[in-house]
Amino acid sequence: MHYSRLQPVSKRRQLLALGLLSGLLSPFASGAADTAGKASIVVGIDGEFGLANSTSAQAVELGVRAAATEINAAGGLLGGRPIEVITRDHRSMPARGIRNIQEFAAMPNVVAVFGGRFSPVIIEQLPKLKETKLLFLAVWSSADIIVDNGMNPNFIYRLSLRDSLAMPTMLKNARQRKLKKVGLLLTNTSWGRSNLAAAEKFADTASDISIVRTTWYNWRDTTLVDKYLKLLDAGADAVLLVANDDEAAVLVKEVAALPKEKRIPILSHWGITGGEFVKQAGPALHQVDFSVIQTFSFFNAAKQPLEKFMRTLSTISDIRRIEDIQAPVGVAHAYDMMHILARAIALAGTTDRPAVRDALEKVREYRGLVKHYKPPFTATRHEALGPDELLMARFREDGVLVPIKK
Amino acid sequence: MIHQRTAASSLTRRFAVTSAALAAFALLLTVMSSWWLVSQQHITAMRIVSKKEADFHAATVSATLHSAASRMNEAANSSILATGLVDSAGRETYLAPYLSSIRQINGVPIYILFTDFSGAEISSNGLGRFSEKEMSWLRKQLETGREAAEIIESDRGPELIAVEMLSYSRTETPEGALIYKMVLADLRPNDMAQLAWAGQPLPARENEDMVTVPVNMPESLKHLRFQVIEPLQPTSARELAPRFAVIAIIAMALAGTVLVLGARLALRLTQDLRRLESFSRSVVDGGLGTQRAPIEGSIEVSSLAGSINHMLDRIYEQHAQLQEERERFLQLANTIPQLAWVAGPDGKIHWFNDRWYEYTGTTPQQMKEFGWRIVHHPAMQDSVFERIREHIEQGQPFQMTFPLRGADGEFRPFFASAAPLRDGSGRIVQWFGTNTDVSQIEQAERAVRESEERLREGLVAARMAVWDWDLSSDAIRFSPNAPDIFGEVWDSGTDAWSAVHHDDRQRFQRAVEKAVAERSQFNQVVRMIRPDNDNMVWIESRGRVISDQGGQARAIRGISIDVTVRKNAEEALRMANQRKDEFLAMLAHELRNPLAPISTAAEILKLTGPDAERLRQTSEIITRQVDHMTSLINDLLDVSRVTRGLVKVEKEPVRMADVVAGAVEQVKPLIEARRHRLTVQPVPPQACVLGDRKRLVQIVTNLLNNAAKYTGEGGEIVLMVAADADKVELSVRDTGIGISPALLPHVFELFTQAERTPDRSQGGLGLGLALVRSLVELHDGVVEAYSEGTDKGSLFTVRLPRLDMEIIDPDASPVAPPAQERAGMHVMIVDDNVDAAHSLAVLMEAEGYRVSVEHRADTALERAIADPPDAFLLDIGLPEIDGYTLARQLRAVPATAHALLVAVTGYGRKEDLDRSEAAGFDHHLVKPATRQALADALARSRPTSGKAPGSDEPAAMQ
Repeated sequence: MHYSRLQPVSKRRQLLALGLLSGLLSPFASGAADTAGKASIVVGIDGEFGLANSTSAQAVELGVRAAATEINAAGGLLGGRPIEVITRDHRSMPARGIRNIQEFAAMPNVVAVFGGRFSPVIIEQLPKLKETKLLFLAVWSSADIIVDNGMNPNFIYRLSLRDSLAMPTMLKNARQRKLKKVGLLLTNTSWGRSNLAAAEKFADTASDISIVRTTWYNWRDTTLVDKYLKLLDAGADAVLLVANDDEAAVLVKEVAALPKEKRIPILSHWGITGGEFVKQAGPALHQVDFSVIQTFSFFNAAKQPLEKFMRTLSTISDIRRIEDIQAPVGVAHAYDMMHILARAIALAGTTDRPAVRDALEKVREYRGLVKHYKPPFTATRHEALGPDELLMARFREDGVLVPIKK
Repeated sequence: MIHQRTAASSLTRRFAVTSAALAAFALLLTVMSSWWLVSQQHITAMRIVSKKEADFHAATVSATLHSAASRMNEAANSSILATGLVDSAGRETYLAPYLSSIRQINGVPIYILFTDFSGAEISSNGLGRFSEKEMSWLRKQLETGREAAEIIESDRGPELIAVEMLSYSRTETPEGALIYKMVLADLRPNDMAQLAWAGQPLPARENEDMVTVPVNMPESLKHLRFQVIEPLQPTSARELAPRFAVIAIIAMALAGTVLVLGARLALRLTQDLRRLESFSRSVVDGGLGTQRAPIEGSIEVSSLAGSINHMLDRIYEQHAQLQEERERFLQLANTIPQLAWVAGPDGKIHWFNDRWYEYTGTTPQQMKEFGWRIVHHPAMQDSVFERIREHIEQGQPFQMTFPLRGADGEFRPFFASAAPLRDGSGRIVQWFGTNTDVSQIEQAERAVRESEERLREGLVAARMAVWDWDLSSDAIRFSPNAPDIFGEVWDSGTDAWSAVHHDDRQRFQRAVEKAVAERSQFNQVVRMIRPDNDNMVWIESRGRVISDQGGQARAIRGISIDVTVRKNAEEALRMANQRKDEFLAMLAHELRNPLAPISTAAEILKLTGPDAERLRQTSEIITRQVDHMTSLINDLLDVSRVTRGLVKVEKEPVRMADVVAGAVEQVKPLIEARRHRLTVQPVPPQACVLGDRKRLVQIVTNLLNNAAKYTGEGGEIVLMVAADADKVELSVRDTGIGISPALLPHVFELFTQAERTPDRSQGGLGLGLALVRSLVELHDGVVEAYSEGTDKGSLFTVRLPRLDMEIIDPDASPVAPPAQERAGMHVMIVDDNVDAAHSLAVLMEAEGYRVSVEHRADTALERAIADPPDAFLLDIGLPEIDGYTLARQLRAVPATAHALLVAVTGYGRKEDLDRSEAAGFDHHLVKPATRQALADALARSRPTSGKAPGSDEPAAMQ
């Protein structure tokens, strides 16, 4: 499988970029009276911005900026200090990510850093995060170990999916669909292993569903169909896929090319939604039974927060419809997390990282896009979301991800 | 010699040797060309073998590089490295084993390192480390993102280093790198081969001994363009040795054969020639005769024999002519006055003329070989012989002078001259020389030289220059010592004139013109300024005019003598005389000055009935003038004694404070009279000296007197004493008339005095400062005068050696009771001079004393016993019994034993004072004693008299 190195920038991304630019300017236009001239509170984003075909980091940025715009418009924090967003690109490479954490930690006015989609990157960053005690907010990555990292006090919070919850949900969904023999096709990384552990744990306790075989693909592998066929040979009637957008698109195209009897349902982890999976898979997507786990859908969002959010979005971007929101979970998680962070900063009365970390455990409630957090976090729970929010979704004909009606 | 030559190169042998040499040369050529051909073929064969070997080695290197490149590319693209890059979990378990499996490529060690995007190590194959230089090279490649390969120098020599990038299609940057290196030395196929690459200069020995083969490089390393360079297989001489040996043996056999045949042939061909040769040898050995060569054999040899016979005839003729010439030459040589000789080319004299034998008295037998050495002076024999030998060796004509002993045994100097005679080829055949007697010439020259030397020394000693002035050309010549006298010499008379002082020039010129006109002489003393040091010198010039035969003045010859020293001495003498005259005039004036008022006063006293007031005034005038004259005469005597060294100073520790106090007291009347302001600075207590108190007071008094005299009324005088560790400095400064620079050097000389100013009331003889200097010098001190000029005041400074002690302040001197208390005191005057005795008596009575007068010692003693006086004023020079004896007698008599004895006498020397003290006198006054001095003396009564309170110290003699 070969990708050209230089992807043509899509029109949508151009629009997004323009919107972000105006978003940068708008707080100063609307809340100038309150925030001008005050030292800003800096929020960092460490994400896969430079990874070709990926939209996840940009989605997180959009969410953070939307929330920041609203906060700044309301007069900023701590007596009028505006929020400023700084981004760092790790292109999904752990080594680059580790260096970014090092740089963020060295900036004294950075209060917290939002993470990107790639669990492996964050897992490799963990030693550095422990060392620097940087307040880290995971809004997409789902590996369990990110939060179960052994830090005390724990400087990492997550408002996202958790693998040990995702796998059971997907398996339950398979069981519901009478797909009792599943094969696992996993990425050969810590994220893949995290999911294997979660799946095996569930399968051990469930008598009516079994894992027939597990196959692994490696970074840079250019074909996946051989692994798929091995699962098929092992008697699998569904494949649980833990992969990212590019690899998944490769698999979909390869499976679509197979004879119809060899095309079995694929239940995918949500890493695929962080890129241009739909575009890359193309028409093949609709030749395959492909569903993906999600925590949230704008189609299910509460009306009042959604309206406010869409209004804000219209001031900083060209997006007017929820269908136009790329990588929706990333946007929603980041938006909610930024608002919760703002409340914690206000509560702490300072941007001091340990103080804000403590305050995050004390925020009482927040009514957000994803849900009504009450409270978002506690001292013993750094996961904002639970199994109740999980749902399966499918790609509509026009490529928009919509929840599957239960 | 001739025989030797025959042996060295007989014609027969030449034939033999030449034919053998030719044959040997031909053989040598053949051998060498065979040798060359064999070697050449061998080299060509070896080159082909070497080339094949190098090709094989290049192929081996190529295979290794291809394997390495493809292996590394494969590793870089493996999923194992890819996984290791994104997932750290457990990678040590699979990465290191994977990389360690690649440690050699075709047996060549390869070093591998796997890094992340920043060049940080992830894993390696554990073979060795990469240096910092290599890592920075890697980071540079990571920045550009290009795969690269280079040759880098390392401590193991040059190494091939290359990097494979781990790229990921979704990022535009390399995310990791696989760097590997191989040491070039390891890549070499064998020890002889070398690797060259693009950009690296080929080994210096690039010639046909090396084979260079390019290596087929893998694509990624193509730009390095490796080459294998190998030396050719060396040609071993041992392999070819048998072949060369065969060639050599054949050649030697051929050479031997040719040599033997050539010798035989030569003997046969030269038979008749050898017969002719033996004839000519007999002619040479047997001397000239009438032999003829036999005409036989080959045409060439017969013709040669004929020619030899013809030449023999010519030689006989020429020999006879030569004999005749020689006779004539000997006759000529024997008639010349010089000693002549002929020597061989080696310098051995084989003939002397008759004059030689006559002069030296030797025989030809004695002169054989180097027999001539006996007539040379034994002391010079060796050096003369050595020099002659040197000249003979150089082969050039030479001259020298040396003594030769005559038949009479005396040595005379001879001038020797010798020249070589050369043949047509320039070879010296013989030497011809003559010796000429030069004894008379040398004597004359020496006499002239000595005479000139004496004259020159005389001129220098007399500071006299001799000159010769040509009047027609104006040229003037000086003796060599002229610059020493004039500081310069001149070529023309006009220039010389300009050196004469312009004040004297006209006079000098007139004298010269007069002498020229009268054809006579002149003698002038003139001044000249020496141009070299600008000093003025006095030159006495004497000249005499020289006339030619027609009586015309042609030149002036003369001398000039430096008479500056004489002139200066005359001047000094004149000045001293002048000062003495001036002094005498002044002395007369000063002595006459008081005489006028005294004379007038005497006239007044002669007048009848002068009233008491006028009498007192008149006597005061006389007293004052007599005081003045006394002081003048005292000064005069003092200075005369001091300068003649007749004064000795009695040294004792003295405080300068006392000296200053004493002097100030003495000068006070004059200071007050002239209304000066005298400031005396406090005297430091450590200012003590070893000296004569009286003389020291005299020094300071004189300085203060001087200051007071030469300062206009109401002036300012400052006296200051300072002391340091080893000297005491006393200075007297005034605001007076000062001292002109001209006078300053002479201010301490006798009879020197500033010009009188109208307001100076005090006279003086100009002795004071001369006295000061003499006295200061007697105290080992120095006195200096300083003034900025006339009317600028003066400063006199006396420096004396400091005495390192403090003198305890003695009690104050006893205060003399007022004279009134002495009224009624009985005083006896004893003096044989009746006038003196009576005048003194009148004075004493007027003072209120009771006075008795005696003129003889005996009557005085009698009367003293009858009516003992309280005090005696005794003259020393009494008739019959002198004053000393009288004093002893008075001391011996109880009635007068404690009376006050005062000597009043004309004797004032130190010895006189000592004698009077020994005789028992209490005081010693020198005539004329002043009223005050008498009063003072009488006021100090003897301690035992009980009439005066005070100390037990004896009163100082006055």
